Amino acid sequence: MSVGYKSIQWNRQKLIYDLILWASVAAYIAIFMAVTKGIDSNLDIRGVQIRAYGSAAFLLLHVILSIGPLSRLSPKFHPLLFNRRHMGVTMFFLALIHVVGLNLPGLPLKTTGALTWYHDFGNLDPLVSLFVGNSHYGDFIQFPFEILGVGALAIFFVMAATSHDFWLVNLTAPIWKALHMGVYVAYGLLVGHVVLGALQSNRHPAMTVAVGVGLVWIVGLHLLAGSREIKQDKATLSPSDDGFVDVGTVAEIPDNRAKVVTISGERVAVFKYDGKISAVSNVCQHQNGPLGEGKVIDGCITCPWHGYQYLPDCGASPPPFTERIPTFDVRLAGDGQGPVEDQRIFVRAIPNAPGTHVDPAVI
Amino acid sequence: MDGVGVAIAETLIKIVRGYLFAGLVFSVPFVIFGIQRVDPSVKGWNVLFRVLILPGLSVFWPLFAVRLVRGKRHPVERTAHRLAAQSASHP
Repeated sequence: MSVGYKSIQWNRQKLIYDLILWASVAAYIAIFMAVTKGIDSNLDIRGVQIRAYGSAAFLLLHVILSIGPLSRLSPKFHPLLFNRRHMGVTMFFLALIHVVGLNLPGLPLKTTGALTWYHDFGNLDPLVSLFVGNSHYGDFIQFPFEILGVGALAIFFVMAATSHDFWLVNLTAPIWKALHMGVYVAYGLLVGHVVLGALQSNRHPAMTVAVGVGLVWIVGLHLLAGSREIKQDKATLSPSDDGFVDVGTVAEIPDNRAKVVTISGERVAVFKYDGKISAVSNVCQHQNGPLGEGKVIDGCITCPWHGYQYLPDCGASPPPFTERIPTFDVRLAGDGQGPVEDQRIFVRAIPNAPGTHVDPAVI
Repeated sequence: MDGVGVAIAETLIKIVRGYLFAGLVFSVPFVIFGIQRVDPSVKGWNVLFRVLILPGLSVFWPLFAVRLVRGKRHPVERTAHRLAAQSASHP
């Protein structure tokens, strides 16, 4: 939360997350190289390294792209979402090593990149050679697949370079998210890069099937999660004459949890806690996470994505933090004879300015 | 590819390199002296934080140059509820 920026916000959970991530990547690269050399010991180790890092990045991209929709389908995947940005930056560096290699002074691990391996033999600058080496721009199968990879790498660079919270604040979350949606363009470019590159030089059916299964998995998962989201947003509630919207009964909301409804073009999270009802905009100011899927912890609405917190009655982060979200007037109505849990909750359709205190409705 | 293609590729690469270099020239003094004017949440002298945002600043430097010159801070996000609340308080 933005009381001041840290370079990298590591805590115990994030460190464990990163260690598992990096160990998995290292194990994958080692296994890839051992298996490939085992299949054909005549292969040049440098070419195998390029494939190992490239395929590791491509595989990791599938994992990264799966986390979002899986989290929409089940909260069990939220822990994976918690530190996904480190996964994205790791993926960028794997792709970068695939292209330029790794040759840092003092680092024993050295690899050759595709730029040197394929484009550093003539008079041309390797970077220029990358763009002009294959000029079949009008041909589908012979299309210079390297260009597709360059496009994807450029997108990954912008995403990695803007992964710090500083960028969320300075670009604002909606623009930052729109920028990072470029990952889908990058994925499309990479599928083209692999299909027109690696799959043309190595036509083993298993590789083609693997790329196809990956594509179907990513597209299918997004369609499934997206259809659920659209269905929820279509159920927009309209206000009655007094400007309030009937959002359901008290009994529908578990303690310290929320019911999410769509009012005024956006989702509203209606929380029940300590015998009270408060309603806030569902959109976390940090990364626009779904606050209504979080819970009230230590008296604060806690975002399920990264733990940003807001006081339910005013939509402001507890001091010294400064985030604020819109709040909504709430009232309860019942016939006065039935159980309190049958009371109906009414939320005013017009939101209050971010951070505005609203008296909770007492059950 | 013919010489024209090579010349186009070389020119485009030079333009991109020039843009990023100009960004670096702007960004290094900006992260030391100017950043707190556009984002008051930048506090203290965390060197690694400043280094980490340098690549992004080299891309988005015109945005920060404009904010610095105009004396503006980072904006607040615009969501449907924020806009509705704003128009309700300023009809």
